[in-house]
Amino acid sequence: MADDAAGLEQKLAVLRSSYAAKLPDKLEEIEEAAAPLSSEPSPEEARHALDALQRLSHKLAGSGETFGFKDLGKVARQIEDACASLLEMDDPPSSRRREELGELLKSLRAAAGNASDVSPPAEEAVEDGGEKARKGREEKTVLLAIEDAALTSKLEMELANFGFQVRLLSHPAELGDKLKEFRPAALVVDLDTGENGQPGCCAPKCLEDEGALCCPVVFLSAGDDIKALLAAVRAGASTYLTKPVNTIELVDALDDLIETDDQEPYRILIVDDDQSTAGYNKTILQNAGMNTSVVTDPMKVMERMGHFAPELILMDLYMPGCNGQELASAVRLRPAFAGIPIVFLSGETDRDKQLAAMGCGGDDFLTKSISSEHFIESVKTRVQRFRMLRSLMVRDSMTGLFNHTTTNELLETELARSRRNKTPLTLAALDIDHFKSVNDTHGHAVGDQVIKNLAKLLKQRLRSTDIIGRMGGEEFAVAIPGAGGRQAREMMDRVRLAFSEIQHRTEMGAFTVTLSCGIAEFPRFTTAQLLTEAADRALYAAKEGGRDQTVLAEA
Amino acid sequence: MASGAFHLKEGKKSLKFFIIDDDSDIIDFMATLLEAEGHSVSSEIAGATAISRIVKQIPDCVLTDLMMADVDGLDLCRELRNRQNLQGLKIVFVSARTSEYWQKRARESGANGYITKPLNSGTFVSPVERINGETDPSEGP
Repeated sequence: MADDAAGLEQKLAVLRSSYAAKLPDKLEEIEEAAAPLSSEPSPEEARHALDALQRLSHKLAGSGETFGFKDLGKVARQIEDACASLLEMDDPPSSRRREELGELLKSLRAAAGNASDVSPPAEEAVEDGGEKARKGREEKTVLLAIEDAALTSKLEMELANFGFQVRLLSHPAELGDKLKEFRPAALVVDLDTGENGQPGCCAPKCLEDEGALCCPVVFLSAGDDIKALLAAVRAGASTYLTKPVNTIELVDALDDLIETDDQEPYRILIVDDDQSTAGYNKTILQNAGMNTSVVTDPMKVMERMGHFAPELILMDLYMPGCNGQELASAVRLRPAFAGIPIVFLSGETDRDKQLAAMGCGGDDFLTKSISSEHFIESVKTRVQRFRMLRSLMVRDSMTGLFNHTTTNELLETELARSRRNKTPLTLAALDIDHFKSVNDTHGHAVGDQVIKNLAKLLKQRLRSTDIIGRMGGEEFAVAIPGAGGRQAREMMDRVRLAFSEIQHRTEMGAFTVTLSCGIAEFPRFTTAQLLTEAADRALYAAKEGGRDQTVLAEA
Repeated sequence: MASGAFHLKEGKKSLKFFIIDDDSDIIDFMATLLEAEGHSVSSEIAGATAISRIVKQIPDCVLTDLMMADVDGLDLCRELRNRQNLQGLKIVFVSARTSEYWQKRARESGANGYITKPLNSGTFVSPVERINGETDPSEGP
């Protein structure tokens, strides 16, 4: 029975991620519907656009929050209401009202951008610490700690041109105070000695004391020697640029750094039977900009996992009913949760017991006496790594298409949907012909380019509702909901022809490559496995038949 | 704690649901939750073709959206209520509209229940089952 619940949670997680994957298209559709309103529409055009916008935002209002995008759902509802009231008026909307609507659309985009908020679980609301962190960053404030006046004013002007808010230090010693006053999105520090021959105003060793490491730091230095680099690393450098400073490089570096910090807040599940300890940890993590959810009854962990979709579990080692080790093992039994980092937090100082806890699926062990900085840092590092691994797990890194596992999961979802709706579904298996000889002749870099070109073509030629996956090597799979075998064969044949016409360029000149494709349709083949096998057989037949062709699987 | 969520299936009869919603993601969400409880689900994304399938299938319960692209859920509800062979059918609205006004109109058109979106995976199924006369066994006899 526990398996059923795990299976359900896994299914819901797949639905959630497939919804998230479709969000950009949904937003685009909404923006397209609203587009006529941004110029001077005729009354009829305005009504038509408002109708469409109302319908689409209504849908989004219903689904957004259901799938955990709380803010998105709220804004969509506001848009729906605004449309409704505009439609009730006899006159077409004034330019001011249309602008207001435009503003709401912008907030919708923003809400989707940090679509992080998970819908509140049954009994306890998720407390959003991310808001705090976001507020401080809104204006991309960059603090310059540079003594060289000429360089300072040059960077001040140029960074401002790129939309950064630039703040300066009037005196080197001011750094600590400034950082207490506000938290910049990034700090740019000149490592070189000042004019008077003293070490630079913000020598690395002082930075830590000044609390500068609360934000990304970019170091500038004329020196490229290992000593300077080491000093920068020790001071917690996020990036190191050598002089003369190339502004574009600096802007890129800042964008990268600020971008990663702008991400959705980390979601941490705290499991502790002691309300006050849980509350204490919650406060620390929230102040660091994370979202937290607290469970004091270990038996309720699984339930909460499904709602909250945590990215890390912080668990007390000793709890009534079951201990942390058992609970960790139980969580790990479920395939959907096997990858989530579990960190034990306990007063236990016996190293053997700590190690035993780690053996049961724990990733780290922190003692309760840990400093809050160390605590936050340990949690952050684990979540970052989890996010990176997870993104690798959903998408193929080279092409950005869905990977093997995700494609199969999404195929199952689509199949279930087709069964319920009694609609057709086809699965196409594609394989690039003689790919090995492309690699052998032109090298792997060119081979990779051929794969990327096919990925790009598939994305261009197929609909956004089609699921495109790279199954490994030069193999691809496409699930096409709503299309029967014949229709899918026509679609894939067009892709096949277009691909055979692409000129893949190399230094030695251009060449062309073909592909073979096998297609199987539901309901002729009733399960994902049967579909996959049939499509593979058809692909094999296409290869046998001389390649560069599409074959439809017969039952 | 009686981990009720895992025992729901025992002593319960499996119901036939028919979901109508113009948002396929929402259909998937509801269907996944209902199927996990052992119920069977058919669905239709367009209201217009739903009625003939419902008349043929005779489900225990129809879950329908209120405001859809092609059909007004209230009209659909009234239409179903006029069908002779659907006497015992339960009809439940699932809508993003939360106001009393729409809930009242839904009741007037013959609905047995009204659930508001956003849906919550933890709390969606039991009210639906309750409307269909199934009580949560963990709540006692």
